[in-house]
Amino acid sequence: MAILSPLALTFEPARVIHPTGGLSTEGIGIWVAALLTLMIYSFLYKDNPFYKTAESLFAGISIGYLFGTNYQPVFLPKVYLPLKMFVEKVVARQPLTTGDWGSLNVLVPALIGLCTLFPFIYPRLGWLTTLPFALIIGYGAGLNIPTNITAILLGQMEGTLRPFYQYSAWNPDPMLFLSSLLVLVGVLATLSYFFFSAEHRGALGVSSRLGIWFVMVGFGAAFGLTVMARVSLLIGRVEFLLHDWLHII
Amino acid sequence: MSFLDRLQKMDRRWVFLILAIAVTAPLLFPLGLKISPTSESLTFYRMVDSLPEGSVVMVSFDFGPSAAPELLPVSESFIRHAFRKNLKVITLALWPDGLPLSQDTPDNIAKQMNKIYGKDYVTLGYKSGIASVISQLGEGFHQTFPLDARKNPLESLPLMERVKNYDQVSLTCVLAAGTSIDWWIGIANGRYKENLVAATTAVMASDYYPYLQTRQIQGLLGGLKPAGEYQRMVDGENTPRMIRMLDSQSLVHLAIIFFVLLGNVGYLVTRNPEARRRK
Repeated sequence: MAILSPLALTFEPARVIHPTGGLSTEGIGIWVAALLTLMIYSFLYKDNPFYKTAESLFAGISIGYLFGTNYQPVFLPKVYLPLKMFVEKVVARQPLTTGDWGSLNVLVPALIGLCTLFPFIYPRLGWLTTLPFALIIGYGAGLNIPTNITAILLGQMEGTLRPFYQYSAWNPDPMLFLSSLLVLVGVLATLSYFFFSAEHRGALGVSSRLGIWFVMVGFGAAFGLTVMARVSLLIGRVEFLLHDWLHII
Repeated sequence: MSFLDRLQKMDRRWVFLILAIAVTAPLLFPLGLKISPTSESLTFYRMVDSLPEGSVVMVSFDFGPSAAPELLPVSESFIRHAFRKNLKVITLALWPDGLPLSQDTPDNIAKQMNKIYGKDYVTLGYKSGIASVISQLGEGFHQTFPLDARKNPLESLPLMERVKNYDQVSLTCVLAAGTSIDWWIGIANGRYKENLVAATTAVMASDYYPYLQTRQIQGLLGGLKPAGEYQRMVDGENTPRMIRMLDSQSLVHLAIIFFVLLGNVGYLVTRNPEARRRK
């Protein structure tokens, strides 16, 4: 155990050898994570090979992990295993049930999915890639439009106006009224700023100028929260280094 | 060259160094600043606390290790809070790198609190396609996840015998580092009227306050500070790591405010040297 005597702090780095003998996977993991953290933060001094190595490792491992987590729970049980069972039954000349034939349904989405690979493996049939993308866009639009209209557009419109009829229904909370009024004025003023079908003069000019103030306040809040988030991540890494790796705190 | 001119041209690595000191010093020597819960954190806490014993809550891990400093404390506190209230917990992950977090977090807390897998909590695992999964869960948990994360058939788990769809889940806590929360609001709350509370990274928090005002989400913790407030309410004084981290955040924020003010003062004073010289 080492002692940083001027600060009265002790530190004992995570062990890679287990006290009972043998390698500690947890200890190795902590050392790898700590060294990679330092390699990434070395960029703050200047670009260097350690940073590049950590960056490339991160990109490669992320893609590998993404492939693995989608291959195991999605491709294997949904595509590979049903088709394998069907083929095994055909080869063994076993009687096929309706369920077995039903497992061939998976061929339709699988083949459509494979079309995305044509531009890379057989460019002459590259146009087939439009088929899966058309399906994705159609599916996305179908799912998005009603969801956004009900949850975002109508939900938010109702939420903007609801406090007023709650207020009028003998719920005289002045703070609720004031904050609701501020929200309503902010919404109308901001919308007027984005109304480009008329020149921003007169009443519309005043309203749009007020709108830009609300937008700026919104940007300020978003920027402040972004700084807070990035600082939190930095604190998380430094805390990991001091607590889990060096055991100083 | 004046002091302010020199400051304008200062190597930014000095700023990094000062921020590094501001982050590290309170971690080593905590200041013990007071953590007072805001109304948002209190609402979040009360949503969980008001559930009757035996209710089922669900936690969706829609984040990876990169957002862990902000969201992992909430997940730990939420599960501990739920277990203490004898609520049943279901976890799942809609982000691939949320999968290990959705398994390890309840497992570790269950060990400390003597909770049994299958009876008190279940981990469904990860499934790709965020919107489809949220939508399918409304039709049936068993069709969406025939097997749990440990490869057990869902019907073999006592807890899942009574959980068929959102109707049996009293509250869902969405821990989001991305836009999955939009789908939870749109589909789970909009279509299936599921009660939602959410914890997001601070970057996203300003986007989701409007949903809190409209009660489409019933509680919102945006970032490390509200996470600390909630943890403090659940675990009381026994949160030394969080206290240190929030001390550190307060000091760094002070340093950033100082730099913003200094930068702006420097800019205003030095922006037009010709005009100054003429005066």
